[in-house]
Amino acid sequence: MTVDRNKFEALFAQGRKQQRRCIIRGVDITKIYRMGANETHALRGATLDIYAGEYLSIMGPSGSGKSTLFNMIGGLGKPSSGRVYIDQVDIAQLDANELAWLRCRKVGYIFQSFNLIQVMTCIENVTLPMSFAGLNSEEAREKAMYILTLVGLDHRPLHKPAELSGGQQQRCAIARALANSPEIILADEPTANLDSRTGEEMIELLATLRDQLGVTIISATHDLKMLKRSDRIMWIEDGQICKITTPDEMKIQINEIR
Amino acid sequence: MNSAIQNQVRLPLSVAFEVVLQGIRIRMGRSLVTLTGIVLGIAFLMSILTAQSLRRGVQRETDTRAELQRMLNFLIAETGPIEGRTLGVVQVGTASEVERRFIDLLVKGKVQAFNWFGLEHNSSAEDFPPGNVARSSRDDIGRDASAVLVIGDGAAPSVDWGAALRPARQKVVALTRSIHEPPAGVSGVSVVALERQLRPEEVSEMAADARRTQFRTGWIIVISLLVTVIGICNAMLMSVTERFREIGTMKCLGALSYFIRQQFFMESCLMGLAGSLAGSLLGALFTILVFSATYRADLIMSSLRPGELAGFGLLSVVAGMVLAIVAAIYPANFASRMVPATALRSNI
Repeated sequence: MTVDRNKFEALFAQGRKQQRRCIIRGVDITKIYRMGANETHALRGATLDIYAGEYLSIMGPSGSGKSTLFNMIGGLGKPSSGRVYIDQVDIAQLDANELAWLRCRKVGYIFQSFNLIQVMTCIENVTLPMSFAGLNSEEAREKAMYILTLVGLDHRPLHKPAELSGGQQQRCAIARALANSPEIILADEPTANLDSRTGEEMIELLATLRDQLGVTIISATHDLKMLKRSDRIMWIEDGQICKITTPDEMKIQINEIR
Repeated sequence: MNSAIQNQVRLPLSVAFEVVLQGIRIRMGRSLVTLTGIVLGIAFLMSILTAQSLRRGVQRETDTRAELQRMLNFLIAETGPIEGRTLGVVQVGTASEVERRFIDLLVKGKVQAFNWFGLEHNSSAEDFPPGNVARSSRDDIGRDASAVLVIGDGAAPSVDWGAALRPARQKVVALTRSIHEPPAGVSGVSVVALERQLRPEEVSEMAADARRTQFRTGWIIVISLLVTVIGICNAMLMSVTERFREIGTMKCLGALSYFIRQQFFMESCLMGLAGSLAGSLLGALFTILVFSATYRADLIMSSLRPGELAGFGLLSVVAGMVLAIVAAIYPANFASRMVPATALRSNI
């Protein structure tokens, strides 16, 4: 099997042409962390719809529940109350096995500190989720090489993460997130550990991927450059979603403040 | 695309094995520390077992040597010096180790000749009597003999003692075992019983002593193994905390809990195998060397029993593996139960 552009793109979401398909729906999500006698209300009833193929940014000060919301809609944790539907499936109904399947195939994660597995080479990091999905190593290698070319890292597949620059590591992480052709990519402050130029490159890369492959990109960010490229921006404060704006509206707001 | 949620694929063991090998290779420093802990623990166990085996062997050897000397003294007390004399030997059945060595001692004591006569002994005893001794007939046993020795595991030598002792120099019959029937109905024969009968108090005292030693050794072994388990467990826990992020990431990428658990068990098992192989070899060698230096080397070599030592080695390796598995239970479960989001939040 040789991976070419048509084959690779065919692996991605077919629902691209459908109108405004809701891929993630959160209904009244609350999350309470208990630390001994203390209760921390990280989320107080967040309701949101995220559509297939959109580029959504989540903004909020630290401690606002941004990361918690992120974990909830990414299937990394279960809400204390409320429902999360990913592609019309209520994730509270899934057992550990099915959740692992969902995390493996439906969602790709990109982290602030890259979280590449240090003991593995760049290409092994990309093939790891593929082997979790049951691909044999031959196919996985070929597909991984194609994805690495796509993100512009085909020249150093055998380097360990420690031997790569921050930008290259994040490219590798993006490649890993794409490994099993997910419909959703969750990026938690993907540019926070990068200098501004590299950050901009990452944003361009994510936006290009969105345009090419139709993946839904959800990112938590403080980066204004990232906001410019988004379709919608969700503002979250004190565990609640306070407003949803478009980049144009936000520009006006900033102008008003200044 | 099939949008229905399915069960995640279970990966073959080989995938986890590769990840583990890579992990051990990359984190060589820490792996070596863990390994050293196991090696030391198992080496200690093996050294105690070896020392016990050697001490028992040395004890037996020393006892045997003392016993042989005593038997010789008893014989000489009856016959006078045996140098240059002739001895008659009746072998009934198979001779024991002690009896063989007693004959060797007599040969070394410059007994000039043996009148050897074998009764009912099987073919495996063909190499015995020693090479320079000619077999003689039933009638020649007593010819010119200072004493006639009865050896072997048969009870009653069918010998006409009256006729046999007629040409003898001294009418002495030495019985090496208490089961041998003394000659009856022949006058003027002195009978020497060479085997020592242990008194009942002596026997019970020895048994009690063995029990006490057994208990003490058992206690030391248990403590040392506990220390080893805790050491391995600690090292594995460290390995888990070191890998919080890695575990969380793997779970985010779709790893199942069993895959994580498998990794830690496998790592522990590999370490346990390597560590206990090295440990048991080291422990045995070290103890043999130390004993050789303390006692005389030839005493150690003659009391060394390779079969028993190999058994102890196997026991140590099995013990090491079991310890490694037991020690990995807690860390592996700890790691596998981790929620992916928790693992990602920690900034280690």
